[in-house]
Amino acid sequence: MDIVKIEITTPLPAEVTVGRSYKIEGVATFAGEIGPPPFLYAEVQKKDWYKPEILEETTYERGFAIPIGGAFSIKWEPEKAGKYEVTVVATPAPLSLPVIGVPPVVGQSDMMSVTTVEVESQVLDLKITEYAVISGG
Amino acid sequence: MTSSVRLAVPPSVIQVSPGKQITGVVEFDYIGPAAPGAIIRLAMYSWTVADAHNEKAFKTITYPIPDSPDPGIHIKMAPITIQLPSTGLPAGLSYGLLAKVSGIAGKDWVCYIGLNDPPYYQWIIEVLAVEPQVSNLRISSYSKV
Repeated sequence: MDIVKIEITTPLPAEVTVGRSYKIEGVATFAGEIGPPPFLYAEVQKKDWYKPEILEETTYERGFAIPIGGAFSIKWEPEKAGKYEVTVVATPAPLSLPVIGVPPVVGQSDMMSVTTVEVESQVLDLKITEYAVISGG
Repeated sequence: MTSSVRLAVPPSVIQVSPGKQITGVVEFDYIGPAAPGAIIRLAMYSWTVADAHNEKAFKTITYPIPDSPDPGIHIKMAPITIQLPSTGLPAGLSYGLLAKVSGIAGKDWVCYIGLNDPPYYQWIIEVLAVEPQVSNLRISSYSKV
């Protein structure tokens, strides 16, 4: 049983865009008590079908919780296209990156499956509106 | 001190001597993710058989573009100044201007103002002959003849 209960109120969309910022919001409380745990992270695992789990890329994004009520927010900006599994985890101590081994986890949220896609930027109505010769100097 | 003459709008023609500076204002609408390394390039070009947009002088500016979901944002750059070379610009020839946006997700985007390029189909920069300069003109001695 988790010591910390983590409820996601604003999950990630199923499909997100590389280079754009997203927020995971929720509430984290100690079981039966008021107040959040001090250390919350979004554990982001890149799922590549050809890689065994032990070789998967895993990154951690730090979240911050409000002392009263336990509401938290974690910002994530995907850098690569692909499939990801994102879980918010609570730990009793800060994770030092890179994480080696399995960090102690005292609570975790439901897992969110996310696909990140590259979106091409659009530049519309590009024009040179004015020009001049500079005199003087 | 540097001062700028009246700004022209396309397809007005401006006249410039080699070695002088020209300036241009680039505007566009952007839709897409943040592009912290976006590069805006303004260049003066001529037409050659080998290269329809042969750049003679240019200036690039790095301009971080914020995340801009649909409908996007309008960006108007501060004037970009190009230093023209003192040589290699034959007098009497005409040139165009191009603006390019690169360093963003996907392809580069370019617009031209020049003889073969819509929407103006006209050269807009005319290079003047370098006027001979006489300096230190004085009568250094004189005598009764």
